[in-house]
Amino acid sequence: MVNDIKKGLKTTIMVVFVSVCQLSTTFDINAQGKMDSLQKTYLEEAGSRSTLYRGRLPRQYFTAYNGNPFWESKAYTPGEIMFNGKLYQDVLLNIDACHMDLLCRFSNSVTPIVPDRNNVQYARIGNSLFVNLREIGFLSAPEGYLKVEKDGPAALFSQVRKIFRSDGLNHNNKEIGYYDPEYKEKLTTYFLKEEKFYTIKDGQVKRISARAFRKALNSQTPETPYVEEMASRWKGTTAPAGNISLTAANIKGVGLPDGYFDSETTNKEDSAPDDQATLKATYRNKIYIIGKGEGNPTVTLEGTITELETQEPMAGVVIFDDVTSTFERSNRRGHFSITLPGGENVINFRADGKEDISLHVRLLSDGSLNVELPDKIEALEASIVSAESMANHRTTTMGIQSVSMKTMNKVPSAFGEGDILKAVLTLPGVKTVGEASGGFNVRGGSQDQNLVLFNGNTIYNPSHLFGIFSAFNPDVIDNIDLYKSAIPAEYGGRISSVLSVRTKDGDRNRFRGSAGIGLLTSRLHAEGPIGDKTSIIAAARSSYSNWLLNQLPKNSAYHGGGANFYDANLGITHHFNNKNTLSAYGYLARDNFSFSPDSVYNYSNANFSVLFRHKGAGGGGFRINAGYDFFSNTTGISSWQSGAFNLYTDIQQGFIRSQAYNSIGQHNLAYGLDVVLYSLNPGKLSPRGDESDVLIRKLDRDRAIEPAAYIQDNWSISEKVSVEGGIRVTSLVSLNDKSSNIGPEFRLSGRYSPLDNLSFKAGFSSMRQNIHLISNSASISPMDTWKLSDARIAPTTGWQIASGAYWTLLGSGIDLSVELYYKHTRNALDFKPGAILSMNPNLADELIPVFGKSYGIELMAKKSTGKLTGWASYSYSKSLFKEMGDRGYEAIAAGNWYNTPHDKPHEVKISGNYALSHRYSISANLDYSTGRPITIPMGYYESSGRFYMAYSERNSYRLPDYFRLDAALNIDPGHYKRALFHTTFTIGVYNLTGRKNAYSAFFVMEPTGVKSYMLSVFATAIPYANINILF
Amino acid sequence: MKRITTYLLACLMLSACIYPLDIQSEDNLQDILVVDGTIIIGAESTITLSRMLPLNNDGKGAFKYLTSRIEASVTLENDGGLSITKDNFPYVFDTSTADPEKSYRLTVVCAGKTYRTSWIKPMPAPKITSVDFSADDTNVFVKLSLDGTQNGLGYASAQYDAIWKFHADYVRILDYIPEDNAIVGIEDPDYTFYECWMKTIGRQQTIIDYANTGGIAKDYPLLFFPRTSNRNHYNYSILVKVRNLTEQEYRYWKQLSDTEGQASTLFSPEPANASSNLVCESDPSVKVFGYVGVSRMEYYIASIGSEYLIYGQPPRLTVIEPEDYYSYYSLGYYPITVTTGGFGWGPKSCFNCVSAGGTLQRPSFDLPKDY
Repeated sequence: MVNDIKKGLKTTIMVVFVSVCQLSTTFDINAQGKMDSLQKTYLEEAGSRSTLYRGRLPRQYFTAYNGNPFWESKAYTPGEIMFNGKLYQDVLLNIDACHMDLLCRFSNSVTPIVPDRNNVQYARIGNSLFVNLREIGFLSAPEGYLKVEKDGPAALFSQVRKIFRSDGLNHNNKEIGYYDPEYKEKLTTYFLKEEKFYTIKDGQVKRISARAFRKALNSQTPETPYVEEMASRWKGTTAPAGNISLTAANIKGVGLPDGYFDSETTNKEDSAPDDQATLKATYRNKIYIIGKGEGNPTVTLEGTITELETQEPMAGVVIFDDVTSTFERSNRRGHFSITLPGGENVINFRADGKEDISLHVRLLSDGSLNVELPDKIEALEASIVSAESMANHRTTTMGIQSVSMKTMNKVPSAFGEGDILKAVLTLPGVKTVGEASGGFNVRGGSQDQNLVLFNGNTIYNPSHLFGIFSAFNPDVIDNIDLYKSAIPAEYGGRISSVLSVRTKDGDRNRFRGSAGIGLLTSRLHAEGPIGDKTSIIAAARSSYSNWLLNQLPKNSAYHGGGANFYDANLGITHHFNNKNTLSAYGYLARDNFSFSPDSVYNYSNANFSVLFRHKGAGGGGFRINAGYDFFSNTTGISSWQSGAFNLYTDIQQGFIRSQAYNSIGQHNLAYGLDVVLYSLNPGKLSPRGDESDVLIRKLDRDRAIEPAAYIQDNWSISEKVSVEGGIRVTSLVSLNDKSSNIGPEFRLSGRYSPLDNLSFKAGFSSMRQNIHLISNSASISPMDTWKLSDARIAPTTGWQIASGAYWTLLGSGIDLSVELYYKHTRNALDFKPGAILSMNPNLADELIPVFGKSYGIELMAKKSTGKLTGWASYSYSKSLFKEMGDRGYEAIAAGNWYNTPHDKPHEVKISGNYALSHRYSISANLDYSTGRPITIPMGYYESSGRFYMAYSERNSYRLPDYFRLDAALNIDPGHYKRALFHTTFTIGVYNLTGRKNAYSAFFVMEPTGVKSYMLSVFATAIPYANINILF
Repeated sequence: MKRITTYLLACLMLSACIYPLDIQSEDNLQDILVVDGTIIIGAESTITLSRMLPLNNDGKGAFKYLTSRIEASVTLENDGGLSITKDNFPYVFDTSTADPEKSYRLTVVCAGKTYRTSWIKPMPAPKITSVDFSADDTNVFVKLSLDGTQNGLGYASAQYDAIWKFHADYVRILDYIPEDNAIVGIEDPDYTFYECWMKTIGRQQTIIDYANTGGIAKDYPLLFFPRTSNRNHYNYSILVKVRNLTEQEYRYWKQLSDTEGQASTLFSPEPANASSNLVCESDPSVKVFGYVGVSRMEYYIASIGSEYLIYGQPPRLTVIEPEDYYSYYSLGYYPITVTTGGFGWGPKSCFNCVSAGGTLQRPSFDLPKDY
């Protein structure tokens, strides 16, 4: 009895020990737990198996089910396992075929452990041999373990998969009945068994049919221990110089390394790497040896960080070393480079939504290490410091906002579509002139002052259906960055902001996709590998609002009208090797509107680009991006048949952008050359219909070339201080009138972080803009055109100073920030009253150069981790124009400063998401802002038989304030990784309070006088539902 | 299916609604002078002066205010020495023999301020090729065709006057005797059959841009009216008056029409006051509204064909109880016809077209003396 108690106690201690081990490495980046007593006990009990039992607990299935998740039976069978090149015998083993986990336990223990599959070569369970073919070099093999049915050079394998299913039909079919002796008729959950067969052919593992398998199995070919010998002899790969090595044969000792639970210590392992190959680091309890030799004072480690599931590169991952406080972030292609002292280091990898990884490395010389980050699905508890918080305090960049796809999909929007622009509009400092407006305004800038990039291509109208939807299909988007100030020198051409949207490269492991059905649109996307080195992603989206309008009664004003759009994306990425990648992207979109037979509008985007990336040694590299952008606009008016016309404009541009980057000591340099060739068609008038007598008339194409060169340096002076500076020289040469302009753009920002959770930043940037949106309406409209700077239209120039303080409340993970800015522009363009902007060869006569100034303060509190996430912000800002010249009594506002159409001084935005569980979450959005400026009539008069209004000064009055509250319930799919389909539901209400926000105002002459009215687009609460199917 | 469609459409379209907007203007733009009119070479020219009304005017006094006289001195002169001054309302100038080769300008002296145009050269008129009628099941359309190729211009203004004959909707066959509270038949119903004439003077102008069609405007839609209109009872004649506009005048009227009533929609041009061609010389900061053009006028008369004539449906008559006869009569209602179960009563305009605005005397178009 005493022995039983002792055994039970040991088991309990081990379970507790393992659990604590897991918790400490997952959540606590500053683990100080030197669990000496637990460690000793574990070492004593585990003995030579202490290395083997460094794993996680097995999966739990908290429901009753038919069948079982195991490969064959529930029973644990004695066997042996080759783990990390060492053979462990007398181990009880089983295989969870649902998750392909090998389960090991002591003979006396209750709880099994799942050793990391990446270090298991094979396991013999009873008389059956199960091999991890990928681990022993067969990269074409499926993931997981395969049972060797017949060994030899053309070995035969089988692989059993158990798929966890739950269907409400009380369905139990014979596929599960035969292996479940305790079959329960009423259960709706069960494990469905699937079995696949493979063989080795030409050195590759190929799948074969069951029939072929049986035929080969029954053949007279003798069985030889071919695969078994390979698995037994497997000592790990050898890597080229400078990369990690895995030399299991050289592991000395079997105990846990001293200070294993102390993140600041390292393991003592020798290595004698010969030839080395880069492997992926997904197992954080190993030691990775980089390079050769010893004695290098500093070593540069570079690599690529990808998602474990999809192999998609991950941008913005925080990489840091607590000892030296060295800090880096992966770039948008997942690449990172960090310079550390030679010798033992612990490198931490943090990304929101991913497991925190700490890798022990021994740096001998420069090398590379690729890291895969798995999802962190258990993370409903708050971490101490989120990755984004850390990045905010460690980087010099200010005014940059990144929106994750997870956040974007949770932001409620009209008709339930995940919308990038709507998510961006929840950020402070980003405004729109009205609901369903096509563009956006950043810190007082007008809509054409934002550079919208989509995989490097320029998007001139980033919306569909006049702003109800954004131009970007959320299914293909990887990351979104908005630069509001301190724009890096690599970007230029716009005064106010850069919105950079990038798509995913496509899953390199398996084919998958999604389909979405909404109130107005549906979409479909698919992605997957083509061979081992190429991946593809494609998506399409279309609206069916046309069909809806045709269902209206014929006497309805909207019957026969049309409002529809479609867009399509395609991306192909080919990895020549670990250092060279070529990607090609394509985007096509078209919008059509006609709310009466007399007028039709359509516009389209077509973009294509290729991107070549090269990773050099020592953290350097270069990339070249070239492409073509096309945007066209057509308006068709046929109220008068003889005068029916089509008005067509387009923008075509070709570009090449190149960038090289490297690190020199504490300096991270980037420099490059850009060239953009513009060709704008400002207008072509042509007859519409057979009866039109309109004469074809064309304005001359507007052509120019815009070369630019830049260099920027991010200098980490110390842990507390860093400076980023750059200069960009931009010029424009008009190919029409041969005029040219050239000027520098300066970027300078600095950071001072007296504490890890407190930082102060300041920045200055100057910008130039040579292409201008010509519009006399408040929002982007189909009649707008674009114009390049020339001899009569000077480039718009501007500068901005900004400063901010950032503070993270430790323990709560709340980031507080305050940013102030002041921006001044020169030669921005406003228009004269009654300006005719279409088909006007003398456009400069209609335009007024103006000064612009905007200033403001933005306060924000953000919480990125835990059950409750989101942000709340308040901003006060002003945005004003003033004529530069003196037009006497004709001057707008008598030559004084006047409000821009997007001046909305007060703004409160709250966006939050609360995770009720792993699957259920509720989102809410609150948006309040001052009403936008408008020009209203002051009186009326009669002239030529009609009454006309007399108007106030431009933008001297305001619409009523804007307020909107949205809420949604999000139901994420269950985390059944083997399910063929996962479905996401979103049910929500847009404009929950049903507030009648004014979209526009108009005034009508009535018998009792002039009456004012407002049009409200979403005047009631709009419920919506959205279904997304992932496969 | 239709219910779902309706629901979805409600979300898309019907949630957009129009509501009264309470917005108070603080500026005071009262008493701005409005000068309206065109100097017609070859016909009489009328200049109208008025004042701008504040927006919050309740309208009761508006029209009376607008038509009231503004004391001013209006002078029309040309660069050949002609000068005509009118000191009293109406400001009508006989320009039937004005020299089309001279330039003209208008000066208004009002309330101590002097407003003046620059010298304006008269615009030649386009040739009216035709005025045609067409119809569908619902409406009759009047279309205008112009030829401005001789003059090389591309902007025109069209106005129209119309005359037509019509009859009342009913021949009254009943009469009411209030003393006896009795309804009796009329011995001679033809006595109560009315035929009248109507004339409208079109002051509103239609702006036509035919520069894009090479100076030819073919079948430009000028107006339309329902086939059930009383314009279609007997005949309908229209006098179309067309003149050419300078580009500056065209842009003035186009800006007004583009922003008419539409203050600050997201896609329409930002509203602003159109620039008048009059300037207050005594104080340039003083605003003035209106545009004075100078041009010749082209005239064209067309009549509708009988194929468009259609008799309109009579209005519904009220059937009342005998006890209410007198009260209806006192309200101006008359028994007109017998309906099922009672007598149909209607207002006087149902059987008396003079009450409907017509005249018994045939009117005529106001044409230039040399037309």
